[in-house]
Amino acid sequence: MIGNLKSQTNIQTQVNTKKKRKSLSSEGKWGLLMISPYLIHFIVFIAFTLLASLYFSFSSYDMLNPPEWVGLENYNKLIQDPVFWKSLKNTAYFTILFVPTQTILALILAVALNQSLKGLKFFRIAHFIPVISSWTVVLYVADAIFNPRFGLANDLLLKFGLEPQKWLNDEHLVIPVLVLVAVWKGVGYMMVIFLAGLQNVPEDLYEAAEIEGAGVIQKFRYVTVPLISGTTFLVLVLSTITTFQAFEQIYVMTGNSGDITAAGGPNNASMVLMLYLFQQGFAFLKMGYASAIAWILFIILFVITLIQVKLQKKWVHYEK
Amino acid sequence: MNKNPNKKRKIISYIIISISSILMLTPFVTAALNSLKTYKQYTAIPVEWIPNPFRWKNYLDVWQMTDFAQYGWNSMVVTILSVLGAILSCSMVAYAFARLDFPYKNSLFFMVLGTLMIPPVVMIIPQFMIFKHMGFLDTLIPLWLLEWLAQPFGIFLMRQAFLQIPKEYEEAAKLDGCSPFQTYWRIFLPMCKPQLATLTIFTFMTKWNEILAPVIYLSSEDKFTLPIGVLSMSGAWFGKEQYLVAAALMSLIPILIVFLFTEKFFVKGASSSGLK
Amino acid sequence: MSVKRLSKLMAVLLGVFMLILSGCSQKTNQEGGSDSGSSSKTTEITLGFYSSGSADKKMNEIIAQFEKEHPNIKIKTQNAPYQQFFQKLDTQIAGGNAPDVWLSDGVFVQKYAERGAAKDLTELINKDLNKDDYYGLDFNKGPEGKYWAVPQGIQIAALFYNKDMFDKAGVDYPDESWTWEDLKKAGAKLTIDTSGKTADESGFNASSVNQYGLTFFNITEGWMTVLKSYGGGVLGDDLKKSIVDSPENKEAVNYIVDGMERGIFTDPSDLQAFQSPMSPFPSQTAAMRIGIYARVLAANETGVNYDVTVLPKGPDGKRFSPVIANSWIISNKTSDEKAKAAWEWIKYWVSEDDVQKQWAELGEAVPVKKSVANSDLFLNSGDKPKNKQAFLDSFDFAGTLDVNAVWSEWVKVMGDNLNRAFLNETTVDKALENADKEVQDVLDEFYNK
Repeated sequence: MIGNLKSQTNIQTQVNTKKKRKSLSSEGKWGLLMISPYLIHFIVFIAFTLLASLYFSFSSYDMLNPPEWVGLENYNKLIQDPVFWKSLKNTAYFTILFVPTQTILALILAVALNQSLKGLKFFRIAHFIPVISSWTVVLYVADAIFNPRFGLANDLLLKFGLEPQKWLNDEHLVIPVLVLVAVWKGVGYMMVIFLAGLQNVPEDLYEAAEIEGAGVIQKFRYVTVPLISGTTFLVLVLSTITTFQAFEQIYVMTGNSGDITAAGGPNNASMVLMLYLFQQGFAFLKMGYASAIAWILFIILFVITLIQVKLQKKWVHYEK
Repeated sequence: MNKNPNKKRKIISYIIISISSILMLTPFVTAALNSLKTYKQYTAIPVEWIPNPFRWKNYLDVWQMTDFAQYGWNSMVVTILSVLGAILSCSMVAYAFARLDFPYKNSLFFMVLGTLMIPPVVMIIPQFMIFKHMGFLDTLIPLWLLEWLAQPFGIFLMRQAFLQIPKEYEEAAKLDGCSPFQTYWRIFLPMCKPQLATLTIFTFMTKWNEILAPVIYLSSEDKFTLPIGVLSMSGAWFGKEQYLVAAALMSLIPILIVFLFTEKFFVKGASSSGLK
Repeated sequence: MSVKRLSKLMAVLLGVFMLILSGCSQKTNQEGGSDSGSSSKTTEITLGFYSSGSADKKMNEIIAQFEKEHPNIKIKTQNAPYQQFFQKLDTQIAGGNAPDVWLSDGVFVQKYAERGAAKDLTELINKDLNKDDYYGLDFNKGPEGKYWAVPQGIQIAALFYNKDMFDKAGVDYPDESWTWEDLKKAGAKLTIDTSGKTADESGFNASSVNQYGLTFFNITEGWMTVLKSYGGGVLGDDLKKSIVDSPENKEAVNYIVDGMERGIFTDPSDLQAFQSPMSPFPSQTAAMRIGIYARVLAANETGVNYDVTVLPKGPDGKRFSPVIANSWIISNKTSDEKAKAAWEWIKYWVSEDDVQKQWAELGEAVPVKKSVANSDLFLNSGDKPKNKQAFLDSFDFAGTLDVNAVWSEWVKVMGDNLNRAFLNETTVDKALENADKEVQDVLDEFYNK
């Protein structure tokens, strides 16, 4: 009897595992099927692009003539190019100032807006208007503040008896000012991502925390922050990558009426990698050199993201 | 007693968002005022903040000088197709990455992340060649096709959303005999409306404002999208630069409308309680 | 499954890669086949041009007119905003999809010529065009003496001055006797700070100027013009050697820096305060400008009461007016048949009086055909400026901006260094010394590979 029962359960577990294995492989099939749009994307559009740009980076390529293999020449030149190093430094500086500032502000705003308040809709729209504005609009808008002659900022400085500044024309101020404007424009979007993430925080957790006597700040620290760590991770990774690749803002705000060769000043103080890449490639027809810069940029980003992904395990909580 | 901390929280929140709303809007109001000036006023030093008179005609001129309707229509086609494609493809791919198990999943996901990191500038020439071989030059197709093939930004965004959903939902669906696709479509997708709204707005924004790709792929004027149409005209606007501001502000209106429509999805409480 | 699938995938990938690479080296000749069975063969050519607003409409009209008169040629146009046009064009050339004929900014002609993208037009020009009839053909000649392009419209610079401001300050209008020093002297009287003092008076505050004497911007309408009339310049005759570090240039740059320090000329950071670096003159915040012909459009639009005269002389009496001949280029990759059709278009553009007149009426460039430029239609159209003759007179001492294949790149290097001197971040000597080295590096990288 007992033996019989045993064998029966045995069979049952066997059936179970068999079923499991079968369902696993069907899940695998489903998985591959469902990611197939991306696979097509990669095979048709990305793989060739990667191979081509890798090839260009080892070539002398002016776009108008076929690329000519030159080996490591572009990379050698890159290492000795002071403007490249400067733009790498500027990119890092920009990112370090920008990403944490934007993330923290976006989180605070999202938490403040994630409740039933009167006029909530208006507030959300107010924060979103800069997000949807094109950089052309932002240029005019920022000019109203930072124009050295009649901008609001210098007006205020003068009123307080301080020295007026040259802002975007000052080597030391240009990046902080650009970051400020970028945060102004970008914070609304990251706020929206945080708002979406906050929907996963159950209200009863706050109530429980309140019963235990937690104040506003404690609730934020011990309930909100851990529960939206996944969203925070997302925001950090995405904004690091987009910041490294951002150049439109600097192109528009530091170039003279859209002249790409004039952007990045003064004295290359706001030259970032993407801008340099674009300038070398499209304005000076050095696409081989530009591709080498692109690959360096790619590798740097890859390493940073890898670190972020590895570190995520230490602080990001997922529902399991 | 319980109300007290809540009240405090609200007051603090009000203060924070009021200050930041003012910061957000002030410069924008300045731009709007600038768009209503004459050139003389627009360039006056010291600055004259309030237009005198309000030249609403600037907007009318811009509307008449650029083929706003035709360009706007093209932009709309590209943008709507892109948004649809992004929502469907990114969420599906993201669901698989978040909830399903399949061979090479991790390496493939790293591939997605890697794609996100390729500087877009170096893709211009190779992708131009690809689309040329497909015979899609001077059509709107290159402008939206890739959105249907799941762009990495959207995959990443949606994957993170799907990761947050408790496992029980999946198990319940399995018991009901749902296939993974059905589980995704019927159960998980509706739960991620806030993130879908975020993705919609992101895609709308980038596509609506995109400049370089339309310039490179489109040659016939009747296919131009709005930003190129406006830029093409701007050459004639020497001495009328305030038109540029007006044109830029005008082209914001559609995105603003989209935002107003999707905005309610950002906060689940508002939308779901409203339905019930 | 995995290895097999992966290798399959790689094979497909490689196939696509090969296909595309092989595709871009083969030339596109398949178009223009016989689609209709009619006896006379029609040739279809693509023509690219950068948009300049309302001029686009006129361009399309002229093209339609051309097609009517040349029933066997069809023109497909493609245009884009100025900044993006060249990015598109370069991408198209890279992708083997270049237009057969395109309009190039004059400063980019050598960029295409020296890289083999432009067709050598020397023979055709010698055969079909009488060179004395046209302005600017020689401005597109490379140092080796070949013609690479035919001008579409000419931009040449003169001195613009605001009559109202001169009247108000009681200063005589500029004329052809002026030297740059005269300009600065007059400019000092025309420069007014926020408290109403001129740059001549004591107590004048150069850091808060309300009205500038001269607006000064970048290369064409800025430093190159002054350098060359002081006898200096940037490149030697072969356009491969930097001559930046010269005593003439030092004198010229010192002249500019002094003008900027005194607030008479706009310096690079002053320009930042304007909506566009072009706007000081049309917005009436500067009394004078060095301006190419196209600048009359903005000045007329905003109703400035102004006129023009030839640019001032240097200390040794040398005069220089920068000229840019925006030109038609025929693609070197196009078939003979299409090149022939494209040449018909170019000939039509420059030699038909009617076309030249229509284009002149737009008022954005000096007509290429001398007979039209010297006619009443151009000189006495009734639009300002009154003294359009000054633009034509300037051809006597006109010169290009040392245009070569790497023009944009050395201009950036040179401009960056000069700006540092203009803003007093370095001395004039050091700026020129450094610019000399960096300009030479740019030249060597391209020419001495």
